[in-house]
Amino acid sequence: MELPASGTAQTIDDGKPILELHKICKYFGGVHALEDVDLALYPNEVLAIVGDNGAGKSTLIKTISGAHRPDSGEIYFQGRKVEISNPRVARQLGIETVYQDLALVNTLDVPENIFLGRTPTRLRWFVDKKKMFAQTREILERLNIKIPFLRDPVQNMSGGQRQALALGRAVAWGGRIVILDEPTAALGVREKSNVLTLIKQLKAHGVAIVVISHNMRDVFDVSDRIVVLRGGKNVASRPKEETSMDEIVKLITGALESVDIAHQD
Amino acid sequence: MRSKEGQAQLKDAVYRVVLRNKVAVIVIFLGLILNFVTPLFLTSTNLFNVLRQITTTAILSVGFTLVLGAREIDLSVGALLGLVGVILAKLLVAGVPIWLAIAIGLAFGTVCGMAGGIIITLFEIPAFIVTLATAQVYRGANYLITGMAPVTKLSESFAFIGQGYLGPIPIPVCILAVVFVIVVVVVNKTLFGRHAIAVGGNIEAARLCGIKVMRVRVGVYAVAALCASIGAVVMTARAASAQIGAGQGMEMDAITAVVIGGTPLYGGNANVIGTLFGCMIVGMVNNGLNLLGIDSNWQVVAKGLLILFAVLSDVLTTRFYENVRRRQTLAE
Repeated sequence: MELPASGTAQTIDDGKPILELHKICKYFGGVHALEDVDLALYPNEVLAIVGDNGAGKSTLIKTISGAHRPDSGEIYFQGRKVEISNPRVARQLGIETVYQDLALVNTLDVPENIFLGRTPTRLRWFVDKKKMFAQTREILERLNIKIPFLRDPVQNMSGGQRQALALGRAVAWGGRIVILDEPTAALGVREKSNVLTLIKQLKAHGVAIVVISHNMRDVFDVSDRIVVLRGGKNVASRPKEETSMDEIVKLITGALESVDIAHQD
Repeated sequence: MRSKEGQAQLKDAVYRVVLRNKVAVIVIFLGLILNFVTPLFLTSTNLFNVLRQITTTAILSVGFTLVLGAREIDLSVGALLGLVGVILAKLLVAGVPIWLAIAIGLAFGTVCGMAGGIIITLFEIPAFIVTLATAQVYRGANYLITGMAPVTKLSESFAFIGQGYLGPIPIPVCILAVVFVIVVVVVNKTLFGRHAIAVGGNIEAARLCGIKVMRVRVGVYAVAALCASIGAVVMTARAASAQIGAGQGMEMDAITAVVIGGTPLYGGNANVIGTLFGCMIVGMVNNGLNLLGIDSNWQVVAKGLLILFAVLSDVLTTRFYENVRRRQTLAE
């Protein structure tokens, strides 16, 4: 595994978006899951995508992570047009997704989970445990993730530690865009705040982060910008400072019709 | 309050030690009981007897550990062992050199296992149905090849593999030792072994992380089939003949041994050393019942009960760990 250089903030921050979606449409049968969705994601930003159930949040992130192919529309990665036809392509571009179930193997220990599918080897066939442990320590330290017992199977860890581990893995694997699906669901109060802190730290490492969440408080805590989906359409994009929970909730429910969609970046 | 918590923790710790080593605890416990009820048990002749009796099952079970660890199941290994045995015997009777006959037998068995694995993974059919069917195929082929008559009168030099000694140690035990060491290394140290365990623990996660899941699963079946074939060589050589009923029901012994040995039924872990102890338990129960002169039909009943016990202890172990985890999460 190639570790990104420490600091990792080599993303060229020239004010241009790292990822741009242009008029993305996705139909399931006769249902417009996504309709002409435009979206821009910048380096060093946490973008929250909010919306009611069925608003198209999941479909949208699955389009980015390669699980769904859009029926029409274009995706630009660092200004270059790309086809994200499957999750492997997404990963090669540096788009990592942390799914709600975290995709951890409960019975394996921390290093084995971090290196799942990318295990360093010796003599081609054999696992290089030493290297795995050393690099795991380095990764966790760099990202300031505290997990005391690396040798324990991850099933013995708390929900917050597991979330942190999944996040750490995504970044360690060179993710420049990390998509988080409901990262704070099912977490206790303290755990939640730990994870939110970690997300802010990742941002400082030059990673662009997309968060899907139902929890408005978390969204306002962690994000820089909030995109509202309703009925498969992008109805608003607001910097956090220029909006309020009240306005966002109204946009989600449709009590407030958006007017500024044309001004969106 | 504080001491209550400490007590609970101590209780957890004791349980954990016992559960993790439950197989050793059972072996010692069973040994003590048998020693108490029959003085014949704890003699070196008898113990070597037990060891010799379990070698074939143990060779098979060691490979089977990887199958259960990868959350797969193969009910055809017993029938495959029987079929490889008769093919081997027929080849030897036909005058094929011993090394070549063994090589053909092992290759044939491994290919059979892989074929089953490919059917299971390619068409995503439940493994137990597929292997139940292939077991039937192997058994039928066995009967066709032998015409229902055992293949006997195999040469002495071949029988040496099953009956000879290397110094003081029976050759089958040596073979078991080699297979055991190789499988332990494969499971714990190699990429393939770790991938198999990862697939057993969470197949979706393994797939998402880029592990070639299908290849790993087929490989697991190949390993189990290879071990079954090695078992066939040992068993055939020991009897200097191939019996048509050889290997029948051995998959159940293997499941019992592996699960008692601490490899969970739901995969994600493989305890190869535990499997060896598990085989000892199966062997000790049979041996004990023999020594006590109990009707051999009771042995069948005992085997069934042993499987139930193994599965039950596995379920209880899992539940225990879940409870501990829940308590930990609540405490935070």
